[in-house]
Amino acid sequence: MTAALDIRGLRTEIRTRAGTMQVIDDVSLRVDPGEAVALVGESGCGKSMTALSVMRLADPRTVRITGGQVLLDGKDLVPLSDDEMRDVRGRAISMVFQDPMTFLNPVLNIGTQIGNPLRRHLGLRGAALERRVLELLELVRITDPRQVARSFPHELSGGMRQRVLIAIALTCSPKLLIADEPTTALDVTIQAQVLDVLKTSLRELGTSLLLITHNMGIVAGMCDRVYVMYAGRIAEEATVDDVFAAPKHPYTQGLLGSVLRHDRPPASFTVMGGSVPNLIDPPAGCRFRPRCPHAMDICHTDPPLIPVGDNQGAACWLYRQ
Amino acid sequence: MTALLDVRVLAKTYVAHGLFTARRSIKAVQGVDFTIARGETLALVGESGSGKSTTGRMIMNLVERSSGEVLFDGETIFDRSRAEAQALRRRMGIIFQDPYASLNPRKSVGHLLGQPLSIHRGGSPKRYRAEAIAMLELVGLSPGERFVDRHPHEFSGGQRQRIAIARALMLQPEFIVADEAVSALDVSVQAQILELLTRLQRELGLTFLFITHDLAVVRAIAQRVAVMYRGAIVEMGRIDDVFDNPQHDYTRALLAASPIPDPSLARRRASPDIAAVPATPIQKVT
Repeated sequence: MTAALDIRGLRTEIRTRAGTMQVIDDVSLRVDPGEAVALVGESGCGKSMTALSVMRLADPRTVRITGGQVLLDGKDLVPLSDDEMRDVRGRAISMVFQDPMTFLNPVLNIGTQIGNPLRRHLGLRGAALERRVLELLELVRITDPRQVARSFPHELSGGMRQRVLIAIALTCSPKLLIADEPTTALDVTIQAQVLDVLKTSLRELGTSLLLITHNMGIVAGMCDRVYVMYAGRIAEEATVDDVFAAPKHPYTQGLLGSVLRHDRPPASFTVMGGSVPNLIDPPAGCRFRPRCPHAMDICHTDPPLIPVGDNQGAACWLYRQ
Repeated sequence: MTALLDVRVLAKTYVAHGLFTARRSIKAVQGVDFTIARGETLALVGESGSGKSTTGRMIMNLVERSSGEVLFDGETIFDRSRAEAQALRRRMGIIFQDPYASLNPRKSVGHLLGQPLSIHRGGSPKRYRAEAIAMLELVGLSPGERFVDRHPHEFSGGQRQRIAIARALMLQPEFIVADEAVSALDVSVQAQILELLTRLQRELGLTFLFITHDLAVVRAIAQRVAVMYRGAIVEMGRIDDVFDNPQHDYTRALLAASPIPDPSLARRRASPDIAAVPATPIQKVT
């Protein structure tokens, strides 16, 4: 089976005045057809930059992909020109961001904005275009699609805007949708609705999902597998059930130990000391070493992703054979 | 036991004047009542526009009340003489969500921490360097000498929030309003700050009003919770009672919508009701 998305050994660097940062350092991950995969980690770990590298949306003046492959349905996107990428984006692969107002045009009505990718990528016009726009609004469960198609972004609530953005992203029934913190700006009751819309519409279209989030509760409810990122590298890969039942990497253990839950009285939550390393001058070897309770001499050497069980792997020397 | 804070039918109505439009009044807070005992943490939870922050700010006298009363240690906080207001303010502190916005980037940490003392006791902030260093160590930034001359931009988000907490504690207040104090932080940093606040409460006997939208944070830090919806408290009680046996529909909706970091439980939950979108509390004035 060809993966919907197969990232192999991706490396991306950012040039800053203070020096060059290897923000994505040999990242590999795959999303199978119809699968929902989470990429989790804390601020600055490189999860958003991974998405921007895949979409080629990072600022080319400072951000450069220096190695690796991004296979979309078997075809490498890295060598494509900017023009060729424009045909891929919105058609084979789409993205939804945290703040819908930034990505909606304030002076165009919603119908026009959903229609634009349909005209560009599918060549739809007239009544067929109109029909498809209304279908897409119904797909994201907007109850009065004609009314909303005539509305402007400022007339809609945050949750409605995010559903419109999802509709735009799904116009061409893409192979893969990348959603970067799609509900972080929303209230929890609205968040639950938007996630539900996202889940059912993806299922209907057979679109795969790469969900970027810091919220482990959302991962638990939405995804099949998860990649945990730390300081530009993949720390752990596992099914959602395995990662919650038995996290292997000490960072994943610390991260999950810090997650609070409202559905039962607090046990003691564990507190991970220290903070994330500076990527201009990262520690040699494992980047979690300075904070790790199990650090050993060998941790000064980069750990490979070592398989632990059938569907799990951790970049940690604790699991060497 | 007498309450340290006693809030009685506190209300705030904003009036919006628009050119060519009718005057509208927005009842941000519609008469809330609650008390907080000394040494207790009450969480005020709700979604955007529920009035929880406005309530916190009225208690701190940062937003003028429309009506109602707030008693602190038995005495009203409103319409006091300058000297009395300043004395009261020394006993009450506030921590905001965004430590990037609440710390002046041009001042050193020593200055930022010395400033409240300089306002209340006189002299320049520099005079209180020793107090600033001691406070940095109390909030987990030690040795304090290493941090006291730095500026806010040299710190991470979690460290900045520690500095904001240190600043709120400089005058040794008895009562702290924490307004979304851990909401902008990564989960591992959030855990560090919650642990710090819990420790400070134990060591200093602090009383907290903890304003947040996050039910998991409520459960980790508070003993009692008040749920706000459209400017009113719809349910209030001990955490375990409210969370395990919610009485109000809105509390139930909020609990049902909050993600649970447990895959088997998360999968078993029902789809949310799309129609149940909460509206904003805007009403026309007649």
